[in-house]
Amino acid sequence: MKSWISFLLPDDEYRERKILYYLAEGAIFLVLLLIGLFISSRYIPILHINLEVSIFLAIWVFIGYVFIRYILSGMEHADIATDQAYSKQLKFVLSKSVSFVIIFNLVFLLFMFPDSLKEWLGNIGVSIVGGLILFFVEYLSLKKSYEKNKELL
Amino acid sequence: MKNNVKIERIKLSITQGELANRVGVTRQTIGLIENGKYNPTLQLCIAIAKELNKTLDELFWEVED
Repeated sequence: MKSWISFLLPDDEYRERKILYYLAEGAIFLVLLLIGLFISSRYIPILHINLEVSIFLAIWVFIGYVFIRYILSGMEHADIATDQAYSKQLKFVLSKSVSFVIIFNLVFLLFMFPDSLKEWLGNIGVSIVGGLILFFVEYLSLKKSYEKNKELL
Repeated sequence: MKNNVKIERIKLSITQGELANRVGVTRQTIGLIENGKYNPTLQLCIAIAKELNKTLDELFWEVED
């Protein structure tokens, strides 16, 4: 069965089906949140949230839910099932995170050269936090995939 | 869903990864099917049966003792 969303979905049918479930679950949470926001803004003035915050919340509830479900599903690294493959992939994840920190700083230097030590530290700090988040997310996904795949051998 | 995919695959000395490549899915999907944790579509069942030179009955039909 094909739809306009097909180009966003993987070819593997198990992953395709799971991602569709996550998107549908996320959409239901989003609708419930929007209904809640509508009721609170209309009938409960104390709980009134401004429009910008509401939209921000709605977008991130949906994206965040789908993303977290995908990361925890253990589907991303479908071929990592041995200790050797796991260690190799972990090194790759680490080098990817370090590369992110370096490239982020280089790009930042190209467009906005820092004027003070405070700006230097701020840029480096942001890139390190970004790199750590990237590593943590990739590590979690890899570990979940490895555990799942090991059981299926 | 219980099935004989793993037994028939091992008889032909094919790895999960090789079978996965031949039918166009990931190794994980083959593992899930073999362990009865995922029910494949009819299209994938047929592709697996063809690769293992078996009929759908021989691979997926449950026979009660």
